[in-house]
Amino acid sequence: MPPKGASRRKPPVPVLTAPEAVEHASLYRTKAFPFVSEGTVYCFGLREYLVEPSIPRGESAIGALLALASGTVFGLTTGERSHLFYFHPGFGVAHVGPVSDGPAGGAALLHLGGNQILGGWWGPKGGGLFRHNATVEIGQGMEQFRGAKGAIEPLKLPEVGYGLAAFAGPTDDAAAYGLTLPDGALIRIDAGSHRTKVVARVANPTPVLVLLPSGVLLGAFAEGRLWQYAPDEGRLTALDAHAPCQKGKRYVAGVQGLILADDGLVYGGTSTDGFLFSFDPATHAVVNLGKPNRQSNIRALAQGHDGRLYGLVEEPQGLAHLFRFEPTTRGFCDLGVLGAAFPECWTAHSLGAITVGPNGELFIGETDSLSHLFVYYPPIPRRKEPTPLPRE
Amino acid sequence: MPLKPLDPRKWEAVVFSEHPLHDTIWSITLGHDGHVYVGLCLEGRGGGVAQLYVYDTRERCLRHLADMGEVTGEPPDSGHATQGKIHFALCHARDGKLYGATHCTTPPLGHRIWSPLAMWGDPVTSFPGAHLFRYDTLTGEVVDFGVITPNDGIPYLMLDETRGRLYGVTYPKARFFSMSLQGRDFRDYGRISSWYPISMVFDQAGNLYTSDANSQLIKYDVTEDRLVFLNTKPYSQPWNTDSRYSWITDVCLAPDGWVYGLTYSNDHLLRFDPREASPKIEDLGPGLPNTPSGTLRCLVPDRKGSLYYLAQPASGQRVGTVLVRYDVATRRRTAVALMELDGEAYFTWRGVCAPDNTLYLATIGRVPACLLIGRP
Repeated sequence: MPPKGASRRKPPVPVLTAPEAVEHASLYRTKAFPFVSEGTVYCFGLREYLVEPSIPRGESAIGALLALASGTVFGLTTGERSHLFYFHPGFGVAHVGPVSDGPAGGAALLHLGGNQILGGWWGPKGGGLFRHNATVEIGQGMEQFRGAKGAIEPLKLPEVGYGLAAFAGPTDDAAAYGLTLPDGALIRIDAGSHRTKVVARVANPTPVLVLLPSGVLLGAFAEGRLWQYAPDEGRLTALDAHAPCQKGKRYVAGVQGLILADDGLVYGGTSTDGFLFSFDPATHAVVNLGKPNRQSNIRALAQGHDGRLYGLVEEPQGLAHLFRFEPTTRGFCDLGVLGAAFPECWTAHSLGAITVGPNGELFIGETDSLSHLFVYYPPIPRRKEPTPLPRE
Repeated sequence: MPLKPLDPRKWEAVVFSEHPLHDTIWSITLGHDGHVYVGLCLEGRGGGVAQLYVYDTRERCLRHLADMGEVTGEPPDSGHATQGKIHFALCHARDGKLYGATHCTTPPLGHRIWSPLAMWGDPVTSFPGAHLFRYDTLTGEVVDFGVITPNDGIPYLMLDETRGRLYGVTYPKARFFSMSLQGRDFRDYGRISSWYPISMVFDQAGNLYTSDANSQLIKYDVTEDRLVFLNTKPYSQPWNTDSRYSWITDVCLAPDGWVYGLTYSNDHLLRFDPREASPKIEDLGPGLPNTPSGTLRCLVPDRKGSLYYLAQPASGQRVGTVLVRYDVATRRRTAVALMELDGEAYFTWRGVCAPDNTLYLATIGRVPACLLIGRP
């Protein structure tokens, strides 16, 4: 009891104050900066410095990227025509050549092992398949100032009108599988001869294909449902596994960007609502992991060397964002809009392809009238403070 | 001899006192009726709404015509980024109709800042999109054709009366488009630049010329209905090897049939002949003889074969922006006056010249905004 007459003041209650008003000049940078600022972004035009640009506007949207261990990254464009190009860490981007005469709506690339790559595209008038030996591109050294170009070798597809939308492989016997659009033919491409054969057909397929460690192929089709094909048995099965969607949107649900991660799970993005989900090939369990961004449509996914998933989210008429997902904590981070000042000054509005380079950098392809290749270097984790020495 | 300020006997500043917080004018056009029409913007204050004005050249007074919040049905307190600007987007037709488009970057009411990329598609604080509107200068009727480019502003709009088409570009997506006079039959020609182009001009055949942010000249070929990147650029400083941040900033068709222009980041004039199938840009040298400038702005052709523009000093140089006259026939450049009137400095971005050779120049970044009027 306080002595009589003494004031009985209550202790002050805790108070939270709003953030201090930042002066206007730094407000944008600190509170309203939409660009990726965690890590470093570079931007390259699809042109070679000593060669007249030959991937014209309207033919430069990057539909597929493939990074090789050498650091050389191949890309296929879409648009009025498709072109094969590569990024060489020594001197930038070089154009190998056109691969199609007609329009391409999507493209795919696959590393067959060694210096061999497989490429394909699809479009309203069909598509194509080719093989490319990348030895001369990979093998470039000093005092070479123009990009070397190996031959693009067309391969025959089983039927006219097919176009390649996704690849998986190579298998233990060095074969590759491809999925065609719009037909939905699953084709096997033999090693060596590169003869193609239709092994299954999927109605309303989405352009995704994954080869599981068991040798089973996994894909998705109508209403976001997953399917699998067991080559040994020649059996195609529609799984009791659907990609998540908002209630009432099942009839328009779809899958994009299916990848196999090193935790054994398959991760996918949905086209309708922009959900990220996981699929366990052992149990067929699907888990909705949530949304990285307000927008619908996860366009592409890749797993970084840090074990995190990186993805591109962009709805039609939207604005592409790069995001990150940490599988261990199941946490999302919206990294932002991709913009760079060097070597080219450009902000991407539309992004559709992503691949991981040999040093953990991400190569990201723009899908616009005038498209660029971006390289994103995630931040280097800060080294922990050294433990202080014990006092004597 | 030091340059004199603008002569107060010939020049006056007409202030937009009815909208004393509005800060910038990007669009000014000379009407069929000889009056001057102006889009008054409020960029720096959340909740600002653009206003349409006319300067009556006979009565010598400003008249307010329309409030873009009312025209578009998006009031200042909509919560969204407001219809705060009419950028380079007022086009006058010979029948007295004035076509215009609204533009973004004015923050929502109560906000100090707004980013079109950060807020793209946000259901609460996004910019809903640019509206196309038509103001009939004969009847005062205003028609709103609705949102044309969702989330994107329209910073540039051009009218081709012969074909009944409007051409423009969007921001922030920098997409070139065309549409009917009612905002229908919209055709998207795709992205053309890192940042949106900030100048456009028609040639006499109806082809449209613009540039990307790296100075590259772009032609919209009206016959073939396609864009052509002409692979020609104006002068750029030797160290700016890729002409970065160097849009062709202001262009006009001169009486000699050539298109004259300025660039964003240096002080050289340029010209090209649009009658050539694939024009090449010619460098005309610095805009102010014997005195390097930082940049040139506000290119206005007069009625006597000259061009007027401003030469702005580079930082650390002389003080004061200079009004310059360029004689097209002789290529002679003459410093006319310092852009100062009654002790106050002025800076303008766009202007027009009336048939009697009166210059109307519109200020930016000045509160309240005003028209600088110079009578011969």
